[in-house]
Amino acid sequence: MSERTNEEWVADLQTEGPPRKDAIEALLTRLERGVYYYLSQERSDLSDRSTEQLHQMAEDFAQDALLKVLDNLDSFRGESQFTTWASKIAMRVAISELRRARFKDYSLDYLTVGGELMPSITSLAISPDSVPPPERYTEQQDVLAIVDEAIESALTERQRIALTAYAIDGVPLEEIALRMNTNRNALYKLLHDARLKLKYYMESHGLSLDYILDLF
Amino acid sequence: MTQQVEKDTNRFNKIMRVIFSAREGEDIGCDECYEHIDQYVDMIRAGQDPDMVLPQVKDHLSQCSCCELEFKALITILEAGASDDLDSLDRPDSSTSGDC
Repeated sequence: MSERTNEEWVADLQTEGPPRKDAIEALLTRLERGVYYYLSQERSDLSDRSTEQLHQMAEDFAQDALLKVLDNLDSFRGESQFTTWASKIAMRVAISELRRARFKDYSLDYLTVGGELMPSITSLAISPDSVPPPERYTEQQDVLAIVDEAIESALTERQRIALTAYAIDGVPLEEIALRMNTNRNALYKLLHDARLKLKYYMESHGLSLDYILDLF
Repeated sequence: MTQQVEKDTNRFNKIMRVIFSAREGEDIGCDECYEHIDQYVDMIRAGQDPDMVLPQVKDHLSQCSCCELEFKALITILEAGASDDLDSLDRPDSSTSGDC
């Protein structure tokens, strides 16, 4: 059977009877196959799962995505292929579910007021195995002091906590947002402002990314 | 260099990259990026240049690692979903935890 047009997908999924059943089956097969491939090829955190487990996960995610697609058919504006739109929903379901499971025990509580953004960074330049030449060591210490000052003076407490969780701990935006009683979009903007403030502070003190990366 | 120092240095360099990659200007944010990402992907797959029509999506993807990761995942899911022969697909260069 040739590929359905966008209009045919929507019409078949909204109707009753065999066309709807066929459309649901075709869409589910496609989403499940796509999600399975994603889980098996792009998710290193799932490398210990068996093929059967991955298939089961893909089936569950595809089912959830299908329900969301059916619930939101009215919001499909036809600006993309229907299958791309549906795949976008499946992608979000899969990534969200995996992320939720992975970070279910994560807490921001340890990032207390006044804590250091990068607690171990101050030890960067004093490795007992590789003590840098004195001049370089001094230069590194100067840079670290500017970074500390920037964090201390330029960021709000919320920005410091969010940036620590995001850039250091690698916690996804949605998970941080959930714990900070905000949403991903607002958190992204909060972080963007924080990054800009730090960047300008450091640039105004003569620091560039290339210089810093070269120094450490 | 001890393992701990190497780890700390990598973390430090990582956060510096995150900070210095921030750019001034309008950013559409994650929600609007998600709204347009399917259209953006379709244009790429059709061999068109989405950056002419949706430059703000490209800008956001270059700023937001979460949305960039979702963008790549979408392409994978879409292409595998449309394929009858998964073995014929190009394997990703590298896999990640999938979180951002």
